[in-house]
Amino acid sequence: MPYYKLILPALMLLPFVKLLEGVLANDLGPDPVAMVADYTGLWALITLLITLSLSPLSRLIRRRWLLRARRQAGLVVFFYASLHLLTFLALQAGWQWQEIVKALSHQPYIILGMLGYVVLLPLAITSTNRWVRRLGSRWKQLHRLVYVALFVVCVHGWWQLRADGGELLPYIIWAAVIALDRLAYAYIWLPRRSYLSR
Amino acid sequence: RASSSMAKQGFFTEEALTPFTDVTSYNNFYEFGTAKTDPAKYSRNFVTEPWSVVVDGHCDKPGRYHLEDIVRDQQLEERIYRLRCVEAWSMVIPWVGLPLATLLQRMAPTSKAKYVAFTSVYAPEQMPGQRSASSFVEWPYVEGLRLDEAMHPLTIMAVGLYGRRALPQNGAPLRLVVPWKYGFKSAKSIVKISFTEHQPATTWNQLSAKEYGFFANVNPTVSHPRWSQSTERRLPSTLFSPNRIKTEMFNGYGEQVAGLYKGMDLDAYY
Repeated sequence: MPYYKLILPALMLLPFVKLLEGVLANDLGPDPVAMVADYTGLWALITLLITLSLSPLSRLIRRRWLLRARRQAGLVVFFYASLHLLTFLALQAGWQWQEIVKALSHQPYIILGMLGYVVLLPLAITSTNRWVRRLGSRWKQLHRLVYVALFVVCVHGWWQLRADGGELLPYIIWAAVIALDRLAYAYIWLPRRSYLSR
Repeated sequence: RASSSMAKQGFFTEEALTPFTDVTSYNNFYEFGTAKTDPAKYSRNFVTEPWSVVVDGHCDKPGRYHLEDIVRDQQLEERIYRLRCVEAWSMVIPWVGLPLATLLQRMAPTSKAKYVAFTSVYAPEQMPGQRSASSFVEWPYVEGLRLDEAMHPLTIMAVGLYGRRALPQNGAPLRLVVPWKYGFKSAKSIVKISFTEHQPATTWNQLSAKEYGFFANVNPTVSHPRWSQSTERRLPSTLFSPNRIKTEMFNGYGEQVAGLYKGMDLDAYY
């Protein structure tokens, strides 16, 4: 029983449970739509960072099973991102297509948010075992798009800041650490290792 | 009835009031932090007594005015105004205050005074937002009005709301209320009033001139670069019926204030 594949996503869904509690208790403050939009967006970013931290973490603590929980974790990211998009479409724009099109053509941060979602979409779709087999080595290439999503999502958040960067800074730093680790792993350690294994 | 003539002048509205708990727990007062709940959370020990306001610039009676002297002998009035935030939400708030004109006239501005600049308190030891290393704002907060805007009968200096003293999160002890402009024009916790000849610098304009103009009149036809201003969420709103209403030109005070901007291109002077 691969319990770790369930425990990690379950933990990542706790913020959603908390949100649900707030919705049911009607305790989201006087402007709940804005609150839910911020909350789901922030947790999409945080869960994305957690997901991308699994592989360096597994190297660090030498636990392979962390790697195997990545696809489930990624689906949780997609879940938060979908909630975030739905909040915008249904609650903020009220499904008024004219307004949605206007926002998508005029407002750079909304365009970026949408782009981030569009990048995540094929990754979520191809996260089944069948797709992994079907795509073979191209699966890994495709899923590198997650770094594009990370970058886009960080800019999407940053462009919404108005007077203080503090709210987002910890996550931007976290993202930068992940990016640096990947670059270092790919260009410094990996070639040497493959040389040794020859 | 006297009240209907008051309503006609824009001094009050019969729209539903935003509850006291929302008015005092959902605030933009970045000196205390950028989250809406930060001001109520971090202003509990904010000291508003004693309080005084320094008056300088082009006026015959500059000096330091103590709060008691500002309020003493004044007939405080209740004004029920719509408050439209530039972030596209709005409230209806029963303020208590005095017409700003009454206050400014006591300071006797000279003919050289064309603008009034307001400076909010700088107290980093009491205000975590002012201590924030990641803040883009250069404190203290500064705002300003053209003299005729400041003298308009709708412009008040508020000292309270809901029939009681203002709480720190609402800008106690002394805050401006300019109901036809976006909320950020209404400087909070004011410690200085200067009469100037030239248009004074204002905090949000300095931060991002393309997004926040000096005038900042509520205007549904001029979008904020990052979002539309054509509608607003009247608070409190709920998740599934966000209480969205159309934003009115000059926040519905056009009849009273449009004359101030006659002949001005409001697309250019946003």
